[in-house]
Amino acid sequence: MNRAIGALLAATLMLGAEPIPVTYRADFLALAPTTLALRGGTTLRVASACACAHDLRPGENALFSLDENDAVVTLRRFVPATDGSARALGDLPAAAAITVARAANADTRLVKVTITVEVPSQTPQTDDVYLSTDRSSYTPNERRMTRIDERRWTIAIEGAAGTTTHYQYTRGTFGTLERDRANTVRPARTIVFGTTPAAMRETVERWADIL
Amino acid sequence: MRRLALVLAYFAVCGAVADAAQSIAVNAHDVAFFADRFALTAHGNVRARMDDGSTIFADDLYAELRNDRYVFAGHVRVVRGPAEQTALALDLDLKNHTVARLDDLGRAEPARLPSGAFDIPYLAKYRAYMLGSHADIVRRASVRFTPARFPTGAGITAPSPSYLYTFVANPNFAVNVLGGSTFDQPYGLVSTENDLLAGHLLVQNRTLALGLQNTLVDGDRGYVAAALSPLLGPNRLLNVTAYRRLFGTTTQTIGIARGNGFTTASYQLSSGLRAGIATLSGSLFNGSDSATLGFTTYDIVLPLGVRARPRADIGFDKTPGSLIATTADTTNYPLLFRHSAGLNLGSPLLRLPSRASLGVTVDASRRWYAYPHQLDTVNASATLGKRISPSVNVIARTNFTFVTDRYGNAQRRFYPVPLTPTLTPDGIPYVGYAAFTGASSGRGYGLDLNVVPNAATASIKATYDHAVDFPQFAGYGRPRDAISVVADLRPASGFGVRVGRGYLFHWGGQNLTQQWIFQITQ
Repeated sequence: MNRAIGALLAATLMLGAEPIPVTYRADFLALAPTTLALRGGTTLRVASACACAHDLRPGENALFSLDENDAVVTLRRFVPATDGSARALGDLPAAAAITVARAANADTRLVKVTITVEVPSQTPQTDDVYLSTDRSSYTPNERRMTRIDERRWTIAIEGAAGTTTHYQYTRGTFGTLERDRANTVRPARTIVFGTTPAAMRETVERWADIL
Repeated sequence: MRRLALVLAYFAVCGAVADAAQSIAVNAHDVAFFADRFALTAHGNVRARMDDGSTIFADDLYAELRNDRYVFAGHVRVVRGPAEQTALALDLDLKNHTVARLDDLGRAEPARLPSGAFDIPYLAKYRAYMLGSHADIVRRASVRFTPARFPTGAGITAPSPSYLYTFVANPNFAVNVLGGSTFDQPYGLVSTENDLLAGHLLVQNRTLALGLQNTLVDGDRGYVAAALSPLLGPNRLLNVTAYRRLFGTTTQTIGIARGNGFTTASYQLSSGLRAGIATLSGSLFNGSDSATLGFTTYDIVLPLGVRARPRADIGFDKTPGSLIATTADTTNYPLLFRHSAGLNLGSPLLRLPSRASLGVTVDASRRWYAYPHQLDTVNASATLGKRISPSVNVIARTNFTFVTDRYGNAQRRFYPVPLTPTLTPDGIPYVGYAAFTGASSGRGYGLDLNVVPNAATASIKATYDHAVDFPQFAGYGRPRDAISVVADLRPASGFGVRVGRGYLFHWGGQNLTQQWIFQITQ
């Protein structure tokens, strides 16, 4: 079915007797004399006369075209500004089931998560509340939160889509780290950055220095 | 690890990666570390040498350090002794004990691969936290670049002969027992999954000093941290802190400090019970002992949403051969029992018109001693928050504190009328101090302005505080007026700067005292 769709698409691009090669976009992994590997592990045969770029980096967006035998005949770096018309991978012949290419900025796009936390009423009125994350090896005063009212504080942090950050709340020092309800050291909390901005509401049960 | 060895065996004609490999030395033309992903990339003539004798050559390497996964791509060659194996790409997932391999067979079909194999991000355009050409990875623990370069965002890099980054996801590594420092920059020396030895550049009493701390952790069950500072010079202080979850919600914490002429030790046993938390704590200080048995309930929700947390304790203070009370008393008290009770009440947040909310907290306690002495403390505070716009809000604060130190008929013996007027630091007599007979009060009023132009990169907090206390004079108690402005800026991912300016008025014998705040955070 995919082959038929691919052939149909290729046919629609024929001008006279000269076919215009259809290009496809995927994420590069590795290149050898007879094999092109793509992110996700798909491999394609490489034609002996391939005009292949050899300076691509693993994970990088690449454009390639296939000959009538589904062998790669061209391979080059994808440039969003000039290659925006590249074919979607769903049009690829059935020769390969390719892992869908991500957007060109998929790995560098930052996603914002807004956290609002409610602290115990025993929290000293003039103390600030901080977010301490594994990004700084849990520096206790890493990110100062913004006070909303007597007990609520908020902060927005950014992370690459798909990544995870562990964190805890403090009042600026390790001695003022949050504890669980029973006053024991609690495991770090976790944020998983998705693909869209998100909001979270949390509660600090207790501080290490205030019973 | 035997399972890992079995999994690897299918690939390991030559025993590609031995199960004993705990560290990996990576050399390449470019090696980069991305702190917010705990990822490492290496490009150009990559050579990864395992400590079991295996070496993997490739064009590129992508490593998820915290997940213990290593993807080699392009002209992969695994060498161990005389044996050698090649591949187009190799995905070693040591955490999940899976290995995926792609060969240069000209095959045009998907290989049977573990889920997620060869799925890697493209980070070349992402700014690295640290750059270099040689990195030593201790699996599941740390990575050291030798040398290291740190991109600043201004097109230049800051060099360092060597830098150790610990990526263990255990917050207990953040314990710091190097007390009394106004500046503390740690520098990792040796790290494993459960151990971190770090040197610290400190500023103590406005003097540069070096400190050393070793931290051992056991998951979130316990830790031990020992620190020595300053390493050079007099007044060396040894601090040891240990925490251990014994069982369930029962924990113990031990602290020991030994310095120039003094030794202190403390112990606390804490247990979360059905209704609250029971604690047994004790301390020693140069031969003086004290112990306290206390109980604090969990929050009790009262009508109207008010939360209450009552508490009580009983204990003693022992100072052999000396007086615990003041010399004004006629009795020696080498052993003195005491008990106390307290209550904390927190109102629910009251929603007010115009996007404002109000919260009130009251805390009261009384302590009785085994002689005519009571100490009463009452603290009441209210905080009003109002949102002006999505990026601007105002916090108005007020608090009242009353402390009454009662000695019954002996009150004047403990709070005698001064025979000469008390002098303030600037030499002016403080006549009003004569009225202080053990009852003190504090009234505080504060206003915070929070401006957050960009929630992820910048926030500014301006604060004004006004205190009307008794007794209060220049240098004693809180400053009457104080203003501060603090800006938290994050010009780049993984790098933050805190800059602030503060002014105290009519305090410490000076009309105006100025303060700077400067801090760099990761």
